[in-house]
Amino acid sequence: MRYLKRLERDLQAAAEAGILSSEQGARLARFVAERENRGRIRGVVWIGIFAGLCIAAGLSLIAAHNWHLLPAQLKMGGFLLTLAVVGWLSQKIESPAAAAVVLEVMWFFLPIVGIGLYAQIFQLSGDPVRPFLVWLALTLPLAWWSRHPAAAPIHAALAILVLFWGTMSLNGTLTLLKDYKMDDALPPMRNWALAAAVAAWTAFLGARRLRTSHQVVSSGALLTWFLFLMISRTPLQVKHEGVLFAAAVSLAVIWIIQSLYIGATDADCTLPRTAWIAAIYFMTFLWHYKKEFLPIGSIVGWGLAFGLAALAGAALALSPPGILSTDRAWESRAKAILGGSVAVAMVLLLGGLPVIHMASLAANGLLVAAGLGLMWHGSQRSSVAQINAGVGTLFLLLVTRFIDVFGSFLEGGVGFIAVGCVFAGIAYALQKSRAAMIDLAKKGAGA
Amino acid sequence: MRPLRAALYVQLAFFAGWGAYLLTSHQGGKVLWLETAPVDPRDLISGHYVALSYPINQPAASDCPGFLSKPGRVWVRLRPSGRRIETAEGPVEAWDAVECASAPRSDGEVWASASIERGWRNRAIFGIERFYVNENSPLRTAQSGQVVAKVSSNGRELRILDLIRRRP
Repeated sequence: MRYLKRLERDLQAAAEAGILSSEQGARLARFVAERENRGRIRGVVWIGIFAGLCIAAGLSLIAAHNWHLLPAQLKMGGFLLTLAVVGWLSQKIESPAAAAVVLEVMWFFLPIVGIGLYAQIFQLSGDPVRPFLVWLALTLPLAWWSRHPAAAPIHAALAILVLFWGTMSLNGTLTLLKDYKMDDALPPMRNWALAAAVAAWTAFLGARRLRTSHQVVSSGALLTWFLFLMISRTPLQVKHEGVLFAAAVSLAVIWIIQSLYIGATDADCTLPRTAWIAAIYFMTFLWHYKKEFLPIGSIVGWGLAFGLAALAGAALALSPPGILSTDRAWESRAKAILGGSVAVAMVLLLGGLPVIHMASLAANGLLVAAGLGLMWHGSQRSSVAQINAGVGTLFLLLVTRFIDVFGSFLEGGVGFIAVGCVFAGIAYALQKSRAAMIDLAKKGAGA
Repeated sequence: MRPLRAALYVQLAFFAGWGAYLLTSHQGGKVLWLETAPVDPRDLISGHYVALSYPINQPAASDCPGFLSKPGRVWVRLRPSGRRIETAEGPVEAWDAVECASAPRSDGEVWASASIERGWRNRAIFGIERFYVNENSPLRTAQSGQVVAKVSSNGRELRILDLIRRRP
């Protein structure tokens, strides 16, 4: 209000000075005053909102206290009315955007509230996953046709949660776990079909309705779910470290290529890149293995290892040119490192101790190459995210290997001081080179 | 937007239809009594409930273990056991599972459908294993063996009507 008064005074002064007519000044003051007041909640409105909240809270408390006295029809009718009103308002109200989004989120959650309410009224129990599957089905159109960015990501997150929970639970419509007592009793085909349908729908929704960064996360969650099927007690379970490493590395490569294919930025690719680095990093610890792997023993293990490696290879071979780098030489190097990682992981299928140790050494080499490559390429392409990823990878590897080799020093005070000094030196050197490369990248971007 | 309006109609029709089925499906159902062993957890979407297990979850009839050993559904025939239980509402007669079959027979007896829940001991689940209770209900402190379940059967499924305290 103070601003409007000062404006009025200034406009009057301007009119007196002959800069504008007094009529123009008055119109200008009215225009600004109207704009200032639009969207402002007056004191009386605040009191009204507070009164409404008090009444709503009071009604809720009375309803909660007498909940068991309310007839079932009244509870169900109240729910249906709420669903109809919220659903209708959600379609009618477009502005303010915050109100529209709140209504849509309310509409999205109302079906599960209704299912819970009916279960409470009629004492229903049984499969805990089924209500969430029904909720997914009922909110599917909302996620697909919504005009706001809220419904689709919530729906995708819900679908992924249901997929993890439902398929890894021992009981339920979606379970893919084998019976503890009967190893040959497989989950019914209906469960497989349902799980595949939920996974396919999540991928499709992600491709069509999620923004790129959310789509990267959603794809990663689906690929991780597949890896979990290989670890958990499902018919796809493989109890062979080599196959699991090969699968993890192949899935990480597929995730990286898929993310880049859909146009993910460097920052969006942090998660898939970290997953790949983590898979290779864990492979380096195979150096400590003292026993060779047990035989794979099942066609499922061989099939999954070769199938996923073939998919990763196909993704690398068929990806459009320029996807990993606009520079052809760098793209070839990146493909060689990613493809090499799959090959190294596949060697683990042989399972002999010398092979395991060789693969572990090769994994160290891959990480050094990837770290240096990310730093170098990042400085050339002005990508701070790549430089940081490269520095982080090298730092992690240096520290881990240092503890591996000189860990026995950490038994006395002098040893700790020496190790601390070496770490400080490593950190200083890496930080210096990181800063220099980022400077170089910024200069490159400026030029 | 037309698809969203259609989605709202589908949701309303689903809840109205399901609600109508739930309201009418046990009208005139047969009432039976089952002994219980409760505990007290909480459900995320429906509130507090007493989790119940019944002797009929592990039917002892000679043909039942075969059905329980594999996933799927089983039909269980229930019959009064002749065992009387003293409750706050007077004496009632407990029912037992006396037969298992892959399909019900139309013999005028009470049959109930159950799904097999896998675990260290597989159980037949009838959908009456929860009883939702008000926050002030004295049943929230119910302990094992202190209640019996009043259950309705419509010839296909069981629905729990009430929990009644046993008299010592």
